[in-house]
Amino acid sequence: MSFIDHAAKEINCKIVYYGAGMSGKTTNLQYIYSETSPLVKGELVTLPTEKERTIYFDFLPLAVGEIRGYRVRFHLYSVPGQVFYDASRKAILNGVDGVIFVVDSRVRRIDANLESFDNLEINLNLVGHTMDKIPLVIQYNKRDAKNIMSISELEQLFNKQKVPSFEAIAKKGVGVFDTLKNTGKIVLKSLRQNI
Amino acid sequence: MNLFDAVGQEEYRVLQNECDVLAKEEGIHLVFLIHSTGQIIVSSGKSTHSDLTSLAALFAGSMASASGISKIFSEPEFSTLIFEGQKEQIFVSLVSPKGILIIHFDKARALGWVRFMVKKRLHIISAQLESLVDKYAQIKSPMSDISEEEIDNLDFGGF
Repeated sequence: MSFIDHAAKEINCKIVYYGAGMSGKTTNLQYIYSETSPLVKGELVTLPTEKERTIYFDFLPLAVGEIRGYRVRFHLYSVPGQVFYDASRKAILNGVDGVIFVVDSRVRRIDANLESFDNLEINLNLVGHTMDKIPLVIQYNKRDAKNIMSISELEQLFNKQKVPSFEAIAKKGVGVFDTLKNTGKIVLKSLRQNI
Repeated sequence: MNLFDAVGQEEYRVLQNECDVLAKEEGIHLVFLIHSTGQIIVSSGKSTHSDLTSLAALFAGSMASASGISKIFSEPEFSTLIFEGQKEQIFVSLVSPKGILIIHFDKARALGWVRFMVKKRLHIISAQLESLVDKYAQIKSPMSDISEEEIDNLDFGGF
């Protein structure tokens, strides 16, 4: 649920990075944080476990420009990928405006990706959304790793809806901003249509 | 100026006043009311935190977590959370299904007093907040007049 502050002239949208454990969700946020001006971002909040996996969520507020005098701010969240943190994922999806599903391209992680994709659909339904209505973008991450699946194979598995998808190497920043920018535009366009 | 200011002036004024009254008390540093999705509605206080936005997201997350725990214990809701440090304390209370009130105070104030003051104000804050959220849901969004071209031309901070 986007929040539009007419007095302060701000549009606030919630975008959630979703995906299996270690797919690179936090790495996306860390790269965005490292490459943006302090003038447009807030603090990057991370809640990691002792093994540096996200236990609850990461959070980064980011101003992305103005539309007709309204300052547009994205609240970027990433959810914990591990299966046992499902309650956290549901809570973070509350009020979501758009989802970036991060796929780990490595062959050995395909099961985990598919499980997470199923879990996304279930949890979206629980918070009042459906997979075919929510603005969704897919990021195929770790394209520089060994033993990865081809894009056409991944598209068959994860993109039957034909939503926008991007190749990425998040640790090097490749594809990170392309994914975010396109998601942002889709989210804002969906807000227009939902009026 | 804040989130719902232009939407429900009266409700906003009352909510701001309720927070101001609490924040003026000795030992109270900060009072803020947020939506359950983590958005700030009103805030008041003597201390300023540079990143209220992040704090709001974290407290909304904490309350969502408490809600998940309550379901496991078959409780309708755990409506309050208390953070107790060596000098600082924070009292978090669910004031409506969508509203969370957060009070940051020091050891000079007893937790019982804070709890009592919140309980006393719960009814009015809850009623005003619900009215505000209803009004907000009905107003026309500025996005309806914005073209796709304007969205495509958004510079995204130059990145």
